Amino acid sequence: MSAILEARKLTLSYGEKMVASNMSLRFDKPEIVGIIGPNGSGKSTLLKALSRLLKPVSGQVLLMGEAIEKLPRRKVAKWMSVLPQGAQAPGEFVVYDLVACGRTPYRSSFGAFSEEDRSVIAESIHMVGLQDLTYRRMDTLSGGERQRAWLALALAQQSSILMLDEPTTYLDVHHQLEMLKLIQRLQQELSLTVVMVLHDLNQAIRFCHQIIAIKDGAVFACGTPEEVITSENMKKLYGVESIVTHIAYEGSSFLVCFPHNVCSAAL
Amino acid sequence: MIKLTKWLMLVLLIMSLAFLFAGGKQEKKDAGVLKREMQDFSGRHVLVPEQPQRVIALNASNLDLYYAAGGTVIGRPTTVALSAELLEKIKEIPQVGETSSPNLENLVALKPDLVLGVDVAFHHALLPVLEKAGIPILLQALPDYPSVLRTITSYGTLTGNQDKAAESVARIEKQVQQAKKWCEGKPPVRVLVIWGSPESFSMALPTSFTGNLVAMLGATNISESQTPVTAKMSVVPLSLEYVAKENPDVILLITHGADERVNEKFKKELATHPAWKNMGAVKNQRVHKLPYSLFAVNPGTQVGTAVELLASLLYPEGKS
Amino acid sequence: MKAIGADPRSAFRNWMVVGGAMLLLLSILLGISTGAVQVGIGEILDSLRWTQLAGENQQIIYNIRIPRVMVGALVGINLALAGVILQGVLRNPLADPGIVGVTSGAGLAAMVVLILWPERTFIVPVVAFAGALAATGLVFLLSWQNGIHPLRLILAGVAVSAFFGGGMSALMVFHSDKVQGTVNWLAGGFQGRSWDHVRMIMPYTLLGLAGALYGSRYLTILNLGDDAAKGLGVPVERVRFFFIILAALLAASAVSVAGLLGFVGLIVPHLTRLLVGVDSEYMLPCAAAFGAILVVVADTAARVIFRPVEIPVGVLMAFLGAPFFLHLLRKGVRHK
Repeated sequence: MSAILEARKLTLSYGEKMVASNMSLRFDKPEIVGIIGPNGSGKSTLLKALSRLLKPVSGQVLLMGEAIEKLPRRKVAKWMSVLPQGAQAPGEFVVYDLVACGRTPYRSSFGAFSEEDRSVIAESIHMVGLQDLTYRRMDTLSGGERQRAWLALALAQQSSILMLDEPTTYLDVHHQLEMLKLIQRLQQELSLTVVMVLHDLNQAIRFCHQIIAIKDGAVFACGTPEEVITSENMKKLYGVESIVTHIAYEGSSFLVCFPHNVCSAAL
Repeated sequence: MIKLTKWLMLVLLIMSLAFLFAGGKQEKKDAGVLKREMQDFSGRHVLVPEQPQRVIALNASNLDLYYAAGGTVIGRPTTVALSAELLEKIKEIPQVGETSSPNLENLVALKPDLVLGVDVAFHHALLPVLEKAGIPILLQALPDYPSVLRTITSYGTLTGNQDKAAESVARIEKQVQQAKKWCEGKPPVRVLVIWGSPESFSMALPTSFTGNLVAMLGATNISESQTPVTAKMSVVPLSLEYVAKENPDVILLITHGADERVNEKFKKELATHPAWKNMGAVKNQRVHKLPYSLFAVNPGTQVGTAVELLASLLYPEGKS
Repeated sequence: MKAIGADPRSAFRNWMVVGGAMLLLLSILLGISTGAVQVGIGEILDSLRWTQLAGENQQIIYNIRIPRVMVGALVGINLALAGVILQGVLRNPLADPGIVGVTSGAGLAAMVVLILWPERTFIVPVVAFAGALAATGLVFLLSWQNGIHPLRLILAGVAVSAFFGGGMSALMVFHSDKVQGTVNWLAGGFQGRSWDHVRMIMPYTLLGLAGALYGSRYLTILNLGDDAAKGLGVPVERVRFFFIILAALLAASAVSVAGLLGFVGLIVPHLTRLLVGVDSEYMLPCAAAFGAILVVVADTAARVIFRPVEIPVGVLMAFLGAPFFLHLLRKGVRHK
């Protein structure tokens, strides 16, 4: 059976700079995959290439077994939703307007919104818990509410893959956790494949089933959080001395990583 | 909302189909009126009534020349660049707006059978509407002295009063011939004619109207060696260096509009700028401002007076 | 279906569109009935029937008033739509149709004819149209780099406009005595506009409205940024290209029959935005209506206030539109 999403021998460049070479990845089942790595390692570029926002220099991206550039754009948009980093919406938009944009792949050329469109929009807004703010202007919402609105947009596309580029970077710790828990819940309820670029190692550990670590444009490590997040790996990946241990709390055991010092990244 | 917009578009589409055929040729009910064909200055061949009864003039010169040919008008431009007696005569006649932007509605409402306009873009722009309304218009121009006489004569055939026209022509010719005689045999004079506006100064070429008059009187226009960029130019930008080199004997200034400020500005220039100060014409006090009504606008029937004035300025010794 | 309640803005917005259309109809009727001669609705209807009713004012109504008012309305629609499209596509609130070079290209081309061949004034609209498109083409060529980048396009537009503007200044200096003939056209106005002019601009208005209808949802989505739009399946490069061409055609056709009329393309989109928001589905029809109303009312006033002298329409539009816009702006700011 073909993978849901696959990258084969991808070579990517950003402008003049070669960012990744010969990368191969597979996303086989609905789960949450986190992509981590130092700045400039190629994480965002990789995500963009997987989302068809960037054309690879060589190699292929396959969506449901077919080459993604050959697929009609609308079809891709029905299968995959993208939440770009630092996404901006015009202040005059209300939540409903933003989420309604998610129905674009389903609208016909001269068509108005159908009943189904409207019900999907309403459903999506409910799923992120913003139903009381449906007609509030985007520029009156808090950061956390705004991100949730964008998430609702992604849900309105009724896709099975979510590509999230640093979905929590501009939020405070409360809203970061809130957002990630929401994503986790939605992934379970809707059997989504979620691929997200994260900076916070503990969030990656806590919420991801698989983690891909990228260094210098190549896959450095790939596997479960236990496998990938070790102090050896963190030293090599980020150049930090860290303590990786388990914390027991109320009957559960949480793997945590505590970086406490910088060191030079070993080769 | 999409639905409503679609309906609006449908309405517009239907309307536009109707417009496709609108404004076609409409018959003009004036069979029985004798016509003649005339060619106007812009080269158009126009069918005009043999003896037009309802003439509208759009600028001062046409008005002036038409009256000189013994005619009258039923509509006139909003201008005061006419002789006092002519102004008195036309006081009660309805106005149709400024020369540069005539009010088409007023014009058409007066139901003229002939319009006298100028060969300039803003009168050419009236053609589409006037043609549809079946109103003939002659677009004229007066580039030089002979054209003034020609136009009066041709208007004489329109007014039917050829005698009056001939009389006007003769009167003007007499003035001009006298002025020419006055200038004969006098030592050669070198002239600079300046066109002034608040922003810039230009030199009038021999192809301009005033340039033509100056040449007629036998004086030399210092700008004659200047080749204009295109044949249509009648002025070139003023180059102080050039003027200083040519050192004219007489400098004549014409200003756009009866605006005193340009005159003041020029006088100041002459008094303070070293290049001007030392010019022969300035030192000998032979710098003259020409009257607006005779030189800034075409003098029309007063061209004789204009020529006389020029002659007295160019050769002032012992005027009789 | 999970309930979220009805959109509280719909009622107001729908009223704006319907109201706009009705107000436009009223303005047109007002424009046709006002002028040197006051005419009533009956006479207007009479003159529209093609029978040879020898009504006294037939000539005036049929050949002067109606075409003039219609050209005004169509120009208003075209310029407003062009403004909305360009401000949306280029993501620049200061964009107006001139930004892609249309105004300066048309101006230079028209000026060349008006000064050097005034006897061929009748070809000015065609020449202006060609000049406008040539300038836009040049702007495209200069800024193309694997697609259209809004900032590059704007900068190229500024450069091309400066270049052509220089050409216009040169013409004015060398032919300073013929400048008067061009000033009227450059300032923009509707004097002497006939059915020929209506036919010249109408196809582009229809094209513009159809294009706007078809692409309105894309225009809204472009507001979210290129990446988000691409993620929603929008072919961003193609859409931008299509829209800029459409805006160029709209603006070129308007400028070719009306001269260099400013203000409408810049301010009407903002005005509309303040009233009905950013949703293109409402913004485009409203902007079209408001643009047409502004031009028609301003032209009517320009004809009448100091009759028989006509004021340039552009001047009056600025006097009418700017205070109203400022008033709306202040109200909007207080809301927040």
